[in-house]
Amino acid sequence: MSSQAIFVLFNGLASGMAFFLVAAGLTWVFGILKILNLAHGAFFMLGAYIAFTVGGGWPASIWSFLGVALIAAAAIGVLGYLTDQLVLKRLRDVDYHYALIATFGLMLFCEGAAKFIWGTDYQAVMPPPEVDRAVVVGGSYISVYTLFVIGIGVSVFAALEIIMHRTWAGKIMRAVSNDPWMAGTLGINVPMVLMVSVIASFALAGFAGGILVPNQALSPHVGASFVLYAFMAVVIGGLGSIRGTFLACILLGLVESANATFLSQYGGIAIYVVLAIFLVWKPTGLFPAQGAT
Amino acid sequence: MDQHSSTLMQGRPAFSSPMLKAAVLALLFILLLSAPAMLNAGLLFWVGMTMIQAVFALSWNLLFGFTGLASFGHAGFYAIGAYFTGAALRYDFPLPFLGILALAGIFGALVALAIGVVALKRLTGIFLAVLTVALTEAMAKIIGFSPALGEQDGLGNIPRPIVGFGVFNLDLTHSNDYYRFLLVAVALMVAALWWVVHSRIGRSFRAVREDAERARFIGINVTRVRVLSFMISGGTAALAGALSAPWTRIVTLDQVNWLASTQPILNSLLGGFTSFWGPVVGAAVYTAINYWTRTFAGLSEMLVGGILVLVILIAPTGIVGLLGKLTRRIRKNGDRT
Amino acid sequence: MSNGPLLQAKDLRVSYGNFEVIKGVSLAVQPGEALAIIGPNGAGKTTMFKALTGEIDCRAGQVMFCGADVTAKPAHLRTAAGMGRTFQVSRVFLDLTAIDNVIVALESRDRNRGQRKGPWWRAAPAAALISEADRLLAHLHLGHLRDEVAATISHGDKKRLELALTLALEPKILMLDEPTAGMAPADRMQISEMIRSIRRDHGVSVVMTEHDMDVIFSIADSVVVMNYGEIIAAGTVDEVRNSQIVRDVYLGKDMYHAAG
Repeated sequence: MSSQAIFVLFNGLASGMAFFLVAAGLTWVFGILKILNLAHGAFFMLGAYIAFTVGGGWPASIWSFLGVALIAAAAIGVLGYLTDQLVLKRLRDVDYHYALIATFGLMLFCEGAAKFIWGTDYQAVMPPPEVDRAVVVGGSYISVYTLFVIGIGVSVFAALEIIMHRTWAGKIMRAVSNDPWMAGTLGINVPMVLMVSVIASFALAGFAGGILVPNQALSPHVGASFVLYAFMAVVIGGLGSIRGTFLACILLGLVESANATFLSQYGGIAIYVVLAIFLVWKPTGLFPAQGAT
Repeated sequence: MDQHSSTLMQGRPAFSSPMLKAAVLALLFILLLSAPAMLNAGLLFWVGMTMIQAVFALSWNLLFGFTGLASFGHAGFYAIGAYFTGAALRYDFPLPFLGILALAGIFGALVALAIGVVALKRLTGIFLAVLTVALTEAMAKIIGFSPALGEQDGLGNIPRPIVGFGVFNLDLTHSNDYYRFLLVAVALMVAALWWVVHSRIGRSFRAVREDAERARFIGINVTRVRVLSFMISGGTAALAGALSAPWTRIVTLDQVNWLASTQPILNSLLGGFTSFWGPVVGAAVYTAINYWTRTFAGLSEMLVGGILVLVILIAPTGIVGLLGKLTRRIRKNGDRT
Repeated sequence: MSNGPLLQAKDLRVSYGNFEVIKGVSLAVQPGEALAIIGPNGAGKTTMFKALTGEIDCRAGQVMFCGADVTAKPAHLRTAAGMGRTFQVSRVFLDLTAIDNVIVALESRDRNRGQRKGPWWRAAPAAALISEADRLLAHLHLGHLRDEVAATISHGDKKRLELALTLALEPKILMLDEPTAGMAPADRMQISEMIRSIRRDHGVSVVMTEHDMDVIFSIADSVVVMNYGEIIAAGTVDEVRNSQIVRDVYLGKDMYHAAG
């Protein structure tokens, strides 16, 4: 493999995993609540800001960096609980258009709040020192932070897979996702499962914010640009399917990376072409889930 | 006035009398017409933008409120009109201004037709939402790579046109003159949209929104109705964009991103999507909020976002719907006494 | 139009995934005839019904209507050709008034015939259409609900409003999917009387699925009995009523409780 191809591969995988960290919570909540949470990216952004505020721009070590990301996860999880109680709970039985628009309003609110609290200036956070260097892989310089993001993405996917398919909690989750009414008659505390899912999904967004904040210039709009890729991945993967979303994220990351390397004058276009092809060719996604209309 | 009482009227008894409504509209038109004499240039600019946003919102709501389809990438259509008109004026296309406007509208409608033919048959709901967002973003990227369209900096220095009517010319280079032209154009477009919504076409739109399956089984070609609505909506949005280019005199990528697409959604929801006039009311209220909070970064988003969530949770029919409920309640109390 | 049957299904097969629900059903409805499709729950009646009206696609076989092959035709074209249908749970345009419901249907009929009453620029419906809609509402005893929003009217009134929508299309055949489902016995008899009078006045054919035997026996000329996606018996009302096999699979069951 040429060094350029290796570069494209690693960067693509890292972008893909970054998309996945945002998309995983999105698709999870969709699978359970059948609500496409447009505000998901905004909570990711808030997670990044909280990590920046708590940890500062120069993390001391990878452990403090991870610790800060977990603090961000916990904080956003709490916000998730509040959001669920105040907003999402009331959207469960309404037309999906209303849910889309309400979560959109939530997104605007969060972005406004971020501007209000942190201002509109760009902020920067450095990767922790252990991963802030490059290694040579097959003749190509790859940043260790890139490998770190790939590792975190794969770990989160593995954890979700194990939780969903190997544990009792996952079985309950899938039962509720397939048929909440039936699950309720079987004695499952459905509202509780829904609430826990929302909190977990939000916490994941906060964690992603903490992990990915060194990836970009931090501004109140960072969520909007990120969540768009996550949406595309969720749609291509099949709404509600974590596996499909994972594969779609890898695909989109690789396409984006190849596009940026080989067709840099038209960077960022190929991904939309891929999306358009998928929407027309497989409108229900790679792994069609129930409730995807 | 008309022996046929339309359902639309029932939704908003706030202005139940057609005479009263006509009087309010006439008064509004006269007020807007005399605005250049009363307001400074800065405020006049806001008023002009509000009128354009009102038409833009009406175009979106034709799709959502009256056909039941949600486009989350409507800024794409607006940008088609704005960029086309901006480029045509800036590079002196050998076309009369009215021809440019017409072409902009036709482009918008054709793009809507293309999307509709490929997508609307299978794609509704969330997929349509994501597709429209993605296409708009893709368009923004393409514009960002086109030197002729100003790349990231936008297309600036757009001259205001002189409209030739054969025997005489209408010089619109002064902002007050263009404002009056804008007002007349907006009024005509609102009238056209009003006609669409209240005509036989509009009734078939509403039938599809209410129950597509039932509509099919009274012989309505649902896909065709949806595509038609999408085309009218896309064409109108492009026209709104086309009218905006000589008004703002600069067209930038800020008008293409997906946040721009949410402007008509906000206005429609705020004002009330079940009513024809809701988006107009919403656009005015939104401008007012934005104007009063313009010095605090983030405050307007918080207010608008918060209001939007509250509207959905408490009063999904928006301001006009609330007014309607209020007048109905007052009237009922009046009947009792 | 040919002299053959008005509506005909030839070896119709429908599958949901790998599961075959309709296993090669053939039937024919003559002009003016009223046919009831009966059978226990899950027998495939409603699926058969959907395949005939074009709501779902069939995997194999043919649907002929007025002598033309309509197998590949979408629902709205079958409707335009003269198939009027009602739904098991009545469907009307809930946000529109009763009169607007009928007007939308009338306008759709005129559009499909290439007719237009009144000048193109006129937004409000033509006076002729409004009076036609009023006549239809009066005919179905809905005149007093003319300006009520459909969402607010009672279940039985919705059923009749749906019938008004369907009749507005002036169909050659009425496809009624459980016309009396969920109704009180008195309302059932009223609806079946209404359907009989429509047949009398307009000479339309009827295909219906129904659970209530009294309704079936009072409307239908012939009956097709389905079980597990196949026709197990067919004939006149009396023949089917006296058939042992039908009694075994069907009439022995408590139909009111099975209705779902």
